[in-house]
Amino acid sequence: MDPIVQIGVFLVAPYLAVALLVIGALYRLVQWLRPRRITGLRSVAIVPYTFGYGRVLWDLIKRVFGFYTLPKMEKDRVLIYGGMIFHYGIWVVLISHFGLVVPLPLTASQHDFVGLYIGGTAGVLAFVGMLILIVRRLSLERMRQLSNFEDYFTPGLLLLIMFFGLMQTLVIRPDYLNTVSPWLTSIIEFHPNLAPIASVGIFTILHVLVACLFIAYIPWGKMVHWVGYLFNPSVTGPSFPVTTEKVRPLPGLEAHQGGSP
Amino acid sequence: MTEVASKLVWGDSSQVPPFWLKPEMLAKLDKVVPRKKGTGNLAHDVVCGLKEQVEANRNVRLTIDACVHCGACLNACPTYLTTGDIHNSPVGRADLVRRALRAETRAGKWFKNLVGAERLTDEGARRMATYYHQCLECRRCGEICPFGLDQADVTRAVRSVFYDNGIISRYVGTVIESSERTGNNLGLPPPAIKTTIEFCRDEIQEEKGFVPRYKVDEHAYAMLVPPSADFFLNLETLKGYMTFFYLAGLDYTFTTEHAELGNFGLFNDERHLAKIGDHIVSVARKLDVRLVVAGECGHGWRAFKQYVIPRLRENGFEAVHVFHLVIDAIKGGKVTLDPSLNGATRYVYQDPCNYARAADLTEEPRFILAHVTRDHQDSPHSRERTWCCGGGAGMLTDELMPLRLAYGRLWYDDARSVGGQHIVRPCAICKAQLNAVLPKFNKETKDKVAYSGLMDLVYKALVPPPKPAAPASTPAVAATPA
Ligand code: SF4
Ligand code: SF4
Ligand code: SF4
Repeated sequence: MDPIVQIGVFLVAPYLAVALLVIGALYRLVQWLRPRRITGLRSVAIVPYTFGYGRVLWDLIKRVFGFYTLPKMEKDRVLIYGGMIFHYGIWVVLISHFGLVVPLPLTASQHDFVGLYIGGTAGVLAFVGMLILIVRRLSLERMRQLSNFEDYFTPGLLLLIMFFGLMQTLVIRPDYLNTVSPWLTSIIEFHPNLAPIASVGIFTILHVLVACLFIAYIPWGKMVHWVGYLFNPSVTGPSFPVTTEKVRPLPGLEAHQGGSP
Repeated sequence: MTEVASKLVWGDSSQVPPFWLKPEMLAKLDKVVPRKKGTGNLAHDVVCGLKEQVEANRNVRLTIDACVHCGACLNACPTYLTTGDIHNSPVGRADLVRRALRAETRAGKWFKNLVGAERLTDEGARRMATYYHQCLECRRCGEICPFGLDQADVTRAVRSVFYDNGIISRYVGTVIESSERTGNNLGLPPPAIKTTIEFCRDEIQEEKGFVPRYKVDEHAYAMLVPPSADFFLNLETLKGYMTFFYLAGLDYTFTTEHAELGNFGLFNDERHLAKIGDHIVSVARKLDVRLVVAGECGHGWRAFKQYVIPRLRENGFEAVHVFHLVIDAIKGGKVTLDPSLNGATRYVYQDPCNYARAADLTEEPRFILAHVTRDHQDSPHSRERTWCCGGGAGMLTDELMPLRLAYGRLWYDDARSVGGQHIVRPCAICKAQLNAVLPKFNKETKDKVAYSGLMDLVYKALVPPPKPAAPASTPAVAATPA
């Protein structure tokens, strides 16, 4: 591999991407926490009877893992299924990437098996889910009307990353454990060692490059959605109950004899 | 609906703006809450105002930042579903703001449309104002959005910016002015309110055979604050309160100083919301009551529950909705109800959106309805899925009738789909909207769907005791949801 490519893609790009991610994340955090006045109303909770943080937490869990709000109204099945397939797939894919840096009690062939079948299946699901979402965006007039460049850029980027990743996992099947794994570990430990990836193929190079671009972009565009709502008072701000408990007993009129007051 | 089709072009609702408030009236509002003065360049001042809102209000910031343009809210929003105009939709409206704000950023200046940036012009600003005055602030979008993005809050913030720039719906502005000057939206003078109450007292005597006691502007244990429409249009509802309080044996007073639960500040501007809300606290203090009871009004209850109750509690008062008391009385056996008095009609309950999506009042009215009617059921879209009546957020005005008719079709079809003969919507604006549009809908379908509030039905079902009721001294039972 050309040393410029090697240094650019496997050394400069990852650190630059993470730096931009951190700077962007801090920038966003300040922007989200700075607005002091949430609203003139004491409670802006959208979910009815959201009394207390336990209920709020449960709502969050249902949102993240169940996408439970989507089927509530006039259903858009393509969005629901596309969204679910994509997100469940991508979570498994992300988690399985940890296997590259976290030592697991697995033999090389078991590692390979998990990567191929679990990672591969999840990757295909995520890819298909994303395709469904893109086709939905392109085919519905209302979606075309509201979409801008970023709405195609983000899924396009993800599609590319997943395509390069799947090519490796399912078709090329390189020896990750002795190439990508040690390189990634060295990067995370701040002792960069580029030797293991000296001869990796073009799909690995492209996968890493586009992934770095994506990581750098996360805090600057709509990819903030998955953390943003944790700061949203309409979701995380609990309501307060109103009952008659505090006003009992309710004293009555002295007499019920009738007659005008 | 033909009447709708004739005035509203599918896909473009910008042709139906509200009338705007005249400068003389704005000057009156200015005396109560002075507006921020800008440079006089509309587009520039609006962009500055929007920036300020986004900087100051976390809800608005997050709604602008975290939207993924998934379009889920399009399927939920009554204004989009019935007009087909992408700008008259949650995400479409917010995009007008987003584009204007993005145009001010460096990326926006360099990449323009590529990053969804579009410099705001004066004409664009007026268009934005029109679309933001077509939102019902019903929060249906917030309920379906995976991130709970609350476009209704953005609507209020954006309207507030336009208000600073002298652009506010004539109807909303007039009502706010009236409320701040007279203590009620309709501008009813105290003698008129008292006469109406006396009229209702006499009717109750005729219909129920007893004369209900009540106080007006006197010290009492509780102060009842109904929407002013109940002193004008919804007399059956008023009779419901009076009869219920009397039979339940509660010492209460009306107030002519603040005879209004509604708070149009909620629709437009938090400064006015607070001004109107705080007045309730000062009247409660003046009459030295312990409990403030809210009447039937959706947005009024939201403003009351979420703004006024915390203020009242800070000042040592307690507050509830009248439904909480009715439930207490039912559970404690303090009132006798005969559901057959409301006949064999099929009643369909439709949640006022502000009860169900903004102020925790969905189970209570159902509990009551089940005790006052025989044949009752939920509308297919109920609880947090309910449709707004189509007159919310200050749209209850004649020039917006094409939109009101379009929006209203949703709940009308809903009610008829379950054979509903009588729609129950315990909310003053709902009732006013139904009063205006139901006859038109019924004419087209040759149906006879009726409507009312809930206290109206309580009134009919309340059975007078054989002899005068004993004074209330027994503690009542918890008013928890059924
Ligand atoms: S608040 Fe209601 S009318 Fe307004 S954008 Fe949301 S769903 Fe539409
Ligand atoms: S549902 Fe929420 S995230 Fe999706 S387009 Fe609407 S506001 Fe944006
Ligand atoms: S009038 Fe009723 S349904 Fe309409 S906005 Fe108000 S509470 Fe909602």
